[in-house]
Amino acid sequence: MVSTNVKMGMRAVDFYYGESQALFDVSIAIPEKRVTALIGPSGCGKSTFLRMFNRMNDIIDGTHHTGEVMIDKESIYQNNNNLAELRKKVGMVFQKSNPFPKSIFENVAYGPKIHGIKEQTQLQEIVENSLKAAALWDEVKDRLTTNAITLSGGQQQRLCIARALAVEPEILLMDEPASALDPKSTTRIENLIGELQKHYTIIIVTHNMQQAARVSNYTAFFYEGHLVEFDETKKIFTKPEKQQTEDYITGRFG
Amino acid sequence: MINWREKIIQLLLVGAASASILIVLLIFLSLGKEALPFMSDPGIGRLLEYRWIPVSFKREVFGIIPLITGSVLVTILATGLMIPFGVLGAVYIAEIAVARERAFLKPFIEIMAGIPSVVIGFFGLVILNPVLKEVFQLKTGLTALSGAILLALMAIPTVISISEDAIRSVPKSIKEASLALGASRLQTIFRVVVPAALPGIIAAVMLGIGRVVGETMVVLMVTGNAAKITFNPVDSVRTMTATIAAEMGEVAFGSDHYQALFWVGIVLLVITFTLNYIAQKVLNRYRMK
Amino acid sequence: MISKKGKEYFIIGLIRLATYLVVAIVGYILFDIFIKGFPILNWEFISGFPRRSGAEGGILPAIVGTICLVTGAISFAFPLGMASAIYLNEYAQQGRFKQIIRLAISTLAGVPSIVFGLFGLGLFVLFFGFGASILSGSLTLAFMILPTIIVSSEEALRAVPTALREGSLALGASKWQTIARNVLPYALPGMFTGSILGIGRAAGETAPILLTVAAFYLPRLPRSIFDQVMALPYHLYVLATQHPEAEKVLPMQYGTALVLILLVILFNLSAIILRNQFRKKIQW
Repeated sequence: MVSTNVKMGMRAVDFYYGESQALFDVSIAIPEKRVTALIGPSGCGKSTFLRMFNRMNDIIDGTHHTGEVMIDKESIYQNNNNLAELRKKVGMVFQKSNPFPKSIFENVAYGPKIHGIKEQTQLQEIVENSLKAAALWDEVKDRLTTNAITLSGGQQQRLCIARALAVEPEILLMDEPASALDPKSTTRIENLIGELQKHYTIIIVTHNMQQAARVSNYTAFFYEGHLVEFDETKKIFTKPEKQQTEDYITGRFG
Repeated sequence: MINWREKIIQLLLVGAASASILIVLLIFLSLGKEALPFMSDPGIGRLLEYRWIPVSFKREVFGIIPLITGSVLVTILATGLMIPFGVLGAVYIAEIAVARERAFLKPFIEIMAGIPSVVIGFFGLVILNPVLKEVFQLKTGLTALSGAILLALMAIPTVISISEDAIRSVPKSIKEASLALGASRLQTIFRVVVPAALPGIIAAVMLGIGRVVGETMVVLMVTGNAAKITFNPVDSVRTMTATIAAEMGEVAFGSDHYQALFWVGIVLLVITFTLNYIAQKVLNRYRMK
Repeated sequence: MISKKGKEYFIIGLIRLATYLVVAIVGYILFDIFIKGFPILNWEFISGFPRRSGAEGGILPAIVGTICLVTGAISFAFPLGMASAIYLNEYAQQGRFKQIIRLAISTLAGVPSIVFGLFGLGLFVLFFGFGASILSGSLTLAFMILPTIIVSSEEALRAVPTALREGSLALGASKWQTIARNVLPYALPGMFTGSILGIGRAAGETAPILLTVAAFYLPRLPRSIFDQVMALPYHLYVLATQHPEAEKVLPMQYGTALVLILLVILFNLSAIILRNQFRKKIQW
């Protein structure tokens, strides 16, 4: 069913927060340079699944998992020393925009600086390119030194995308990036995702079925920690294999 | 490489955090070390006598009972004053005062908490004691009551701020439910809000008592320091804290008297530790809920 | 019906009375000290040396002594407290070790100040052989204010949203990079607030320095950290209770009390103002 190269995936993953299990035997292969949408009711494990790929679940006390998570055919949980490299490769955009209370410039330059880039001209170049790629440059180019919290909600979220792009990731994880935004800003973000897809492998969690249908090539449906169905978005939304998927999509529950 | 740096930093931080444990142990150890020889000579039983006469040509007596009863008397009196004023103050600030009053009262309480005890003691000496002497027709104003009034003043900010926290953390929905049933504001406060906040208020009072038991300068300055067993509020008393402060400066290092004073310190430490421990337990359980 | 309402007003009135009675008494204490201390307060009093065992002259050595002690205490306690708070809030996992540390901190917070004095005497003055000195006194005060600093530093760290930590970690920053660049800068003002409160407390304490550093009468300035010093609170205590002419030197007592109280209020007020600014400014 997958026509392009596989970028990342999971094999038989169970995940636990302490005693309670959040993912059950999840296996998946996610294609490169495509947009994969994750849908399902709240608490079904979408975000947990997403955060497996940049090991953000690690920072929560008392979590553990079994099974294998792979990116570029390498298991990412084996080597603890490569966490910085992994997270450089796998960018993340959060549900609630979280700009740092620093200037716009410093927000975007934060990642490159962390990874050792010191030269000012190089940083300027990275900041400009990242802001352009996130379709924010024209709005902020004259006020790069102002504090990022003065931006509007939609601008903040695009700033967070620019910040993620600045470390040159190959993968972008987006956790309901537009859920807190107005319709106009949502459209801008969706268009942006369409653009970014040319260069990045994108996984996006969404609550909004229309959004999944609009922006994604593939869709995975999660229910109570199980990956129920994963296929091309067209297929999922027209003739899903599983009854559960159909019920959810047609609005019978969730 | 980066991982090494991270590990070293984490190790340093663990070390710093462990310092608190180390200090507590050191406190117990250093007190114990100085106090220990007393157990064999002249013997721990000597502490349980009813008189404290540490300097004598005949026979020194190191009974800490009068010091304990002195501390207990002052503490009971202070607690009796501290509870109504502290709790009512907290109720007033949390539930009755308007915003502008609160904006004045809260910083005022914090300033009050910061007034050095020696200043309070000084005030007691020059203003309060003469007043008490007049009112109760006493030979001297240096009494347990005087100390208790001043100690209550010092502990009230602790009681108010912790109780107020507890009162304000009572969910609004409970209050509204009570009001919606037709209960008046006061009925809601005293039948719903205060009972719900009670564990926090109890903890606040216990921490206040801990502060009173451990306070030194005020009692040293105003209670007269007569080591006798009495439960008359207008008598002079000598507390454990004042005894250490007054006598430690003049005692010969290593003498029986010196060791006895360290024993007084240990008794104090055990009492305050117990009070704090229980208060913390109550607060923790309360916060979990 | 009316009588019920009347009763309600009456009781509310009583509660208000209880609250403002306390305010009035404390207000009176402050007022009394300001009114009677103010006439004494002049340049000679602040900058002069005491004469005739404190009956005349100024209180400079006591002011300098208190400043030395407070500076010493905070330079020990702040780094230690800050590091403890960072460990507790950012690194420690829930468990036994963290519980024990917390118990130790709340125990420390409850240790009576005179017991800190005994501890300082036993450990620093005698065991380490620092003698009665600024070093012994500062260390004793440092341990006394450590819990205040830890607790308020932790509060400041908790106020920094998790989203900032996650955002930084997700970009590949290490834990310490994240803390140093994206957490501490926003927590520092809150940490300073706690430290200023600690300084205020250290400046006003008498019992811990009684046995570890304070000199009864020493009309000169300290030359090293192994010197004894006079200190404002102890000086007030001595003048008020030990001086042979305690009645006559009453103005000197009021003057000393006023300087001490101004110092402490200055610290506390600036901490309160700093904290309020900080709370207002940062709205995440």
